[in-house]
Amino acid sequence: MQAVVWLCISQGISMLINDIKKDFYQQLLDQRILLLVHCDVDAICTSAILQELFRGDHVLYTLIPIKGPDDLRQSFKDNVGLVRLVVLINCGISMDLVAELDPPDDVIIFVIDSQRPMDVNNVYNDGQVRIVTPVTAEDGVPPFSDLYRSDDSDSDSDAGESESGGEKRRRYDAAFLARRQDRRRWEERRDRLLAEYSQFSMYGDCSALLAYDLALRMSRDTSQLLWYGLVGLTEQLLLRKVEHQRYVLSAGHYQGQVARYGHQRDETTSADCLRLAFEQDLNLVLYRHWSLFDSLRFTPLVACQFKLFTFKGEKRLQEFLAELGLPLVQCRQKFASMDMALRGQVRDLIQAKAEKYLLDGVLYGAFQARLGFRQPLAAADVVHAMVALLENPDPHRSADDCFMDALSALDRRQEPLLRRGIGLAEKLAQVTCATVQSLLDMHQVISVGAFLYATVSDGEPNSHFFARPHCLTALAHFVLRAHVAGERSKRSRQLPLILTTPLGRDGGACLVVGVPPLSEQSPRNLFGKAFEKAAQRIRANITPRSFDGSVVEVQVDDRTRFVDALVSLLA
Amino acid sequence: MISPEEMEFLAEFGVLTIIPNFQQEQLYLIGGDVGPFRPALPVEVPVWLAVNLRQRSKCRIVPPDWMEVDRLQEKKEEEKNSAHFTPMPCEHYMELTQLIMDVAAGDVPRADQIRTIIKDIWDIRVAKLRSSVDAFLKSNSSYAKLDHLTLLELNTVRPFLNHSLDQLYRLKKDTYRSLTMDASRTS
Repeated sequence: MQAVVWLCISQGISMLINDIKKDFYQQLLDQRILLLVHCDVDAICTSAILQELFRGDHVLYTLIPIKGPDDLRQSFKDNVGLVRLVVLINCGISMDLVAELDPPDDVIIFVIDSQRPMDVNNVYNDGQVRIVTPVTAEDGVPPFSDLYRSDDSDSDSDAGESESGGEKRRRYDAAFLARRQDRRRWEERRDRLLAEYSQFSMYGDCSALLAYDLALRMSRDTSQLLWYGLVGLTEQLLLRKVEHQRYVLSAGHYQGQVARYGHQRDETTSADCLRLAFEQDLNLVLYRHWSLFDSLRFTPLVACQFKLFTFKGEKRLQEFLAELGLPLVQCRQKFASMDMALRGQVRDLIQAKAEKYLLDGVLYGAFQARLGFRQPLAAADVVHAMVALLENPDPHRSADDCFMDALSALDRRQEPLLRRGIGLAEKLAQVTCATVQSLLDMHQVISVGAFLYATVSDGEPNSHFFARPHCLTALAHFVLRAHVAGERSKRSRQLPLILTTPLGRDGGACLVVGVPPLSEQSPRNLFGKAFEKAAQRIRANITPRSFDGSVVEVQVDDRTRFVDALVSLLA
Repeated sequence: MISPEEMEFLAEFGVLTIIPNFQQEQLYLIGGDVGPFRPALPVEVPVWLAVNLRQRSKCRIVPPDWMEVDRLQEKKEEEKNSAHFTPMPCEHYMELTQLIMDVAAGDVPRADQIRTIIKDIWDIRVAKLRSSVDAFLKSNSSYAKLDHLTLLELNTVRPFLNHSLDQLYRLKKDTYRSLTMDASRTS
């Protein structure tokens, strides 16, 4: 690990990509590429865009889905023998790639990743690892001189001193001691900087829009590629990876592109072309494909605001709908079969009453796509469908099949697959709500001082739905929100939540996830480092299941000690 | 019988104008030389190359002159009013429309209307073909001449017409033979 100190100092500058077309894409042409893509929606969108570009340039590539850090190491080892260029998408930037993957000398690794913090060894690597995502001042990477320095003189003198006799040692005492003290101070400062830097894990700009910018630079952009990019951006918002303001900023930027495609066409252009639009839309889960009533019930924001887990909650929801002027019978039907007049007004009606019922956040700027004469499809719907397809609990679909399903669902010509995804997403939303209900009913969310702790019991019928990172994180967010809404005290707003769920039928392991508290505006997650430290304390083996470390697999026997260690750590 | 895929292949030998967005030197192909390609400057290429480049988002296709709503509308009126077939603007109008609409519907102004008009023209011509075949059979003549029929339309009737004419011949032959046999028996 300390080999990092002896890094090639003559560089002193980081191998970052300045010109994405020349330094990244042109290097990939005429070569066989290995694409390692993380199993999340943003990465899938990025790989869809890159695949489209590769198809146009006849580039041969191998695509491998990656589920977690272990998967990355294994797949890299298995497949690196055939290629000299590897592209990692949304995986690996927070681990020291050269040390962990041990690539052969002639292999170059390009990394496109929206996760932060970036491991400093990747940023200051001398050319084998090249980071395509722009590194900005916002990331706060400590400067090179604070992290590495050439200590040749020191070490030589150390070695010299220990070999020679005691006489010489006494003569160089003062200078030697001063140097050693200086070095120790420098090392302490370095450790402190690194600890501060890597304490919180968060997300930066989405990778899919970076890939779209690449296509734009090469004049090979189409509205289809922009749509993929926007789905990736919406995923960051919906899965709470970035805060709302950041989404609004990016959305505003790309709205210009959407408008540009809109201007290129007029009313005579064929209806078969993809039309994109940006407008205020309701933040209700899949409301266009479901009935309005169901979608209101299963959206976390609305469910927690109306306290739908209590007895009076349902009545309050019905009151709300009555006040809007929407007949209950119509609301229970599928949205597409509601009266056309009512359907058009739903958004405005809810907007008018949103303040009174404290539903802020129910409207947001959303991107929609229209193809042919069908109903418009919101980017949020595609995100939900893809997450559901990706984390399909069906035991007959392997992880690779699920990945390919999610990738194909992006293509708008694969309509049946998207429909299936939406059906699965509806089921997932229902199951999540039911699990939250049962957790709250049985008062299984307990406060242990520094955080809230909840367990999905083994007997829970739908626990197999949550044996995957995204679903589990979504459940955790929902549980936290519902618990805080139900509590009278304001204290629970500041507490983060740790949720565990059983993994596998034999009950040997469980999956643990930590989510930040509601009062935190920015979604910074400190559980990556916290879990690692707690595991070190109890000397147990935990396997990280996500790259930011907030989802880990723990043996059931170690679970109690693990939680105790966390309590003492975070107190 | 030529299959539709083969006819589409033959249609791809035509020439289309494209506007590339890349730069490349002249291509020396067996069928002829193509290029050089300069961004935003129109260049004439074979249809197969135009379709391939469009699929790779490397160019924009300029629709051929005849693919315009007003001209096609006139053609349709002409076809409707005439009892015979009128000459078509392009030998492979149906295949070309299909190819261009598949990859570059956004490049063609009023593409939906054009598609409808081309389909109407096709329907009119195929209906005329059917009625002329019918008239040919009823009139018992030994040959018919059709001008300005395109390959695709011809191949819609070719297998059926040949086969049924053979059948008719066989039936007539047997009827003739049995009649003459009866006649020779009674005489």
